[in-house]
Amino acid sequence: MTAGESFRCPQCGALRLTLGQGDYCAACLLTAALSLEGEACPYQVLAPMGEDGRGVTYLAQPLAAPRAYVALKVYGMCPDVDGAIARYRRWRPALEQVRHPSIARLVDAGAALDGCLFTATEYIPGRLLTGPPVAAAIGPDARAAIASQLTEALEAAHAAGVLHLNLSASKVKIAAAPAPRATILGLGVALVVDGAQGEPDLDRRALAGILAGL
Amino acid sequence: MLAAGRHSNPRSAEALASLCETYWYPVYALVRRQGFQADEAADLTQEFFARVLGKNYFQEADPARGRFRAFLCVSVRHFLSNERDRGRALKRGGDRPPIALEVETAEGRYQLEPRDGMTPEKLFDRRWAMVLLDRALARLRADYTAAGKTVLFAHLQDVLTGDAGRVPYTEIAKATAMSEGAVKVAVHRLRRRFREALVAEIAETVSEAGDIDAEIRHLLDAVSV
Repeated sequence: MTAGESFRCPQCGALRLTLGQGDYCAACLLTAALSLEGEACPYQVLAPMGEDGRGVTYLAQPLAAPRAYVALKVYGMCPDVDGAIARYRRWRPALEQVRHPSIARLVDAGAALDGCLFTATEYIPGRLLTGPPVAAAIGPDARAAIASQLTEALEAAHAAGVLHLNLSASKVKIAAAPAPRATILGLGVALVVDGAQGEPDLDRRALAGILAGL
Repeated sequence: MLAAGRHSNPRSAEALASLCETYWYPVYALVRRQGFQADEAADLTQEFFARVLGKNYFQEADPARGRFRAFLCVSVRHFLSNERDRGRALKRGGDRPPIALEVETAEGRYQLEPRDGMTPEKLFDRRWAMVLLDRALARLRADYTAAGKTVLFAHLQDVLTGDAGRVPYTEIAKATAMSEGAVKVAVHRLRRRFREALVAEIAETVSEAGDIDAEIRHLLDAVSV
């Protein structure tokens, strides 16, 4: 087979053009390079940043991009790691439509060699909105600005068909300089997406956990 | 990006020429998809690269601040727009062509492109991704060959992107006289080395190491249906 001819990829099932090096699927090659599926977590952990009932969040750097930073959350218990990763891949096109400076992007999800689920989110410097030093230092004008930023961010998410479902003050980070900037965290962990077939798609297990905690 | 970002010494000029040699076909395909006929597209492609390589074309816009792919795509669009305004007064003949562009080969490849509504920019990105992947695969194959593992590579290459519908590990183990566990480790290494080869190729075309994953994602979007 010569470069440019088409073949059916046995991995993803799509019709692809063969490369000069053989009948490799370009999409599957790039996906494999990004996810390193089934391999070790492709991030170097630098320092723990926080912990909740589901796992520990670390400041980390992608092994392939050592000058970048992510918030890497490693989940202690996840009964359906494969399902979570499949859901992330299904949601990713919708999540990528959500582009707003006040929403932290979910950039990766996968399984480490020990089987633990991890998610990597854009690292946002600052403090959680619930932190006492932040809450006390925010004046009326800054509060109004933050409310406006959060409203716009949610409108952007909803316009893309994405609902957060678990939004609270503990999911908002505030950067103080040069002006207060609020960023919503956790989008993509338990959300509804208006899917490709127009059907809502949600993580029912995570949603049940959220409702139980209300 | 790369030595090619600063076109002020022979080494950087050489690096830029090398990149242009590598990625000429996406430029040709972009020009063709803009509606130019084969001969005209070949002339325009050569003229574009002549300006890139001859007149510090990139220095003014400081390509070192971005991705070479995106910058090249925009530059071609501007170049074509200017040429249209000038009535396509191309300089033909005379100087030796700046790159070895085989018109028949290029047009043969272009004729295999899908006849769909893909934009010129998307076609450019898709072809760019395929050139990049071919180079990464060639680098990977060369690494295995240099290490005397040509046969192992031949057996493992079918599972580079995953296991679905491919040769079972038990068969690979039998063919290579390895244990199944050793095959799994070898596959793990192969995938990691492929990523390293791809990252090395992309690193030649972006200015920041932090742009590499974003570039991979962009190219994944470009090649996905």
